[in-house]
Amino acid sequence: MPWDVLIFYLIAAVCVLSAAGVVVARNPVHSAIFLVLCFVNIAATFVMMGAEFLAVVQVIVYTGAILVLVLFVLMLVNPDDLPEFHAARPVQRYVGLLLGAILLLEVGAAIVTRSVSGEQGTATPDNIAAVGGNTQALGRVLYSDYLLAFEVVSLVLLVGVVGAIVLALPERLGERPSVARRGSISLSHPRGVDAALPEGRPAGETLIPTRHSTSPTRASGAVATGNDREVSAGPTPTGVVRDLVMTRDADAFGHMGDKR
Amino acid sequence: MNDQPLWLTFIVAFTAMNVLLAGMAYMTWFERKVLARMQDRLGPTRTGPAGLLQPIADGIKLLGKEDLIPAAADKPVFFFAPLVIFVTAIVSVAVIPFGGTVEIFGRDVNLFAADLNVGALFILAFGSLGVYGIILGSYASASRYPLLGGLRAAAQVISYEIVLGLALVGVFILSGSLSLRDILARQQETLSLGPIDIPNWFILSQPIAFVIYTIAAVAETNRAPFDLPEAETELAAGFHTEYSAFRFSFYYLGEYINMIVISLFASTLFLGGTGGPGSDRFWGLGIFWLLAKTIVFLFFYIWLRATLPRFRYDQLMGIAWKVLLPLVLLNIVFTAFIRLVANGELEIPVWVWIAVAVAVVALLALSLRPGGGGEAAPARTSAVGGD
Amino acid sequence: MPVETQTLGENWLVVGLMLVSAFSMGMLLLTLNKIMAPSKPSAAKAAPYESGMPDIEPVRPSYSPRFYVVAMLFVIFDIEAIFIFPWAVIFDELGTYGFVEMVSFIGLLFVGYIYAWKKGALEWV
Repeated sequence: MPWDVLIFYLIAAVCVLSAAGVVVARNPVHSAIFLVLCFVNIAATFVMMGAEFLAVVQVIVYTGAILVLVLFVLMLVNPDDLPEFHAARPVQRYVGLLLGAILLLEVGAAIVTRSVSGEQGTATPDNIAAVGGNTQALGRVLYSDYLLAFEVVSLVLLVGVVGAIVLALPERLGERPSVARRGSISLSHPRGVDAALPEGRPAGETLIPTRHSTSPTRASGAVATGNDREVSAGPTPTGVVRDLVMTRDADAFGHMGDKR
Repeated sequence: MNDQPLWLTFIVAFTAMNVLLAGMAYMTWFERKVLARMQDRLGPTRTGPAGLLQPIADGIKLLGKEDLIPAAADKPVFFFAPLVIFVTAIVSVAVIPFGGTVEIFGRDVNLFAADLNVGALFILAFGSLGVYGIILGSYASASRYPLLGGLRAAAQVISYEIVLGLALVGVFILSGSLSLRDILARQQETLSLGPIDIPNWFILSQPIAFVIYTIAAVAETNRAPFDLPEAETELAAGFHTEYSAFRFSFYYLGEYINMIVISLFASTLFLGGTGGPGSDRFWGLGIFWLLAKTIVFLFFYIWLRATLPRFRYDQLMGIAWKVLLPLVLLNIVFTAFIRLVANGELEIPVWVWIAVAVAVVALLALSLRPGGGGEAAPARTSAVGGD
Repeated sequence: MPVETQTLGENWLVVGLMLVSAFSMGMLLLTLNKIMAPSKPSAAKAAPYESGMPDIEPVRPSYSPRFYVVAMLFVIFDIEAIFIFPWAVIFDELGTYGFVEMVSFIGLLFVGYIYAWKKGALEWV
């Protein structure tokens, strides 16, 4: 059927082009989008080969889960904090080239030994139809012949859970709920002014001065904007003065609270 | 009967798509009317009889609005992100069976677009692709509210996606297939309980899964009380804040189409789909029953919105991860176990059953005791007022 | 009910056609919008929406790493779900053997789940 072939070439072309796009794109999010496109097209080639279940898994796991994770990270991380995207060290370049070549050889070897000279396996369309479909056929093999591999997968996933938590969750996050709620920015009174709070100021706080405190920037600002603010200031009883504090590191603020 | 030409199948599919779009338009009318009635108002009344032309007027109005693009936006992504959510939502309807093969104008027509061997997973897969509409739209807007709303929405959707998928496992165990047509056929059988015959709908054998599925479906479609991604009091409009004109309406369309598809899906999986009195004699009745069940679902959605206040975000994630996920895993193991016993694979002595029953009752009593068991969420409400 | 089928290729071809037609439907609506809508761009319209406040800092605020942990857990449980689906479908064939297999699989992952819970990975705020 020439139509099959035509559609295959269309899908394959989109696949290859989007894979190239992943490498070429300057913006990491664009790279991720190209990768999504590539994965969806790979799923389409799976469908063309009759592997429906695999195609759906490809979409659910790779595009629906793993790339969502990638996009999350890209959105969470400030792009300025990322290492230079296209300035890999020469060593990495050579290693990448080498790994690519090895992969190509592996794929080539698989094609030659299996589809050119290898003998036909049992997963023929007729056999698959006989057991009721693709999913059923896969399940039969997976839960009998490859039982050990399947159980090892659960171990691997377990390690994955532990790894994710150890790597991504700073230790203090674990104790969070015991401490009062902490936002990323908290507006509060500076330490030492409010009797209820302990003395001193934790690291990471920036003072945003109000009209009562003196700081060089405010003084120069007052000159520029006119001095109507200074007029309204008047004498203030000590102890009522309250400055606005922006806490960059919210946790430093919270730990102060813990100490009392 | 493999002689249905492709164009005919496509006509069926295309009809289904357009009916879905029209259904979506009238879903907005329905929602406004029902909400209004629940709040002792009238809802739209001016455009056409009982406001029936309101959705059309809305559509035309949205077509005539200026399409604004923020200067900082990532333009190509901004252009295509809304289409993603629209296309994935609408294509999911392909696997919903509206009936078997019927004769229309002397021709055999299959009343479904595609009978995929993996139909149920197909809907889940397209649902997971829909997340990209949210993530990319919020990223491309390069604005604070969309970014926050998008992250929230994506985290919420992926959390409930697992629950949604796992809730269906019980149905798969009972039907032995992922194809929606097989699942439907299995539910057409009758169960005899003594003198009465009842249809073998999976809601009867999988009530817990059904409840979990319903909760997860509401969360998955970002509807109240799980509509945190667009919590207007804190996030403006959430991930589509920067969108206007018809690009905005794709998000709107996507949300409603998703609701309808997920309701159709639930009706097919749990409520016997096209099954109902007379549906085996006339195919039109089958479609009627399917749509009736779907409308009940949609009414329930609106009812929830009118009744419940919004959750807090930690409660929302807590429900998915701490309540529904263990519950759904338990349901799977439990269903499998019962199935084993029902198949006669496992012989269980009577005293074990009695012991289990006593243990369950004891556990229930313990967890219902004030201060015991329970989940953690309500206990932490005191922490909120902190800042 | 007679068993009637479309071939696998036909089924998926229809899905492909639906994708194409839904996409073109969307593009058509967008084009209509472009024709019908006015276009008077201005600097204020192109500014990001901030509820009327002027934009103060470049938009890339940092967010909680918890989103990352949730995504990571999602990947793991998604894979678990994928393994459960084919098992569920052929459950009747596998019998007790399959039941024990899956209970140990879910049990092992449940250990990870409890670990995540104890470590506070499921907590927000």
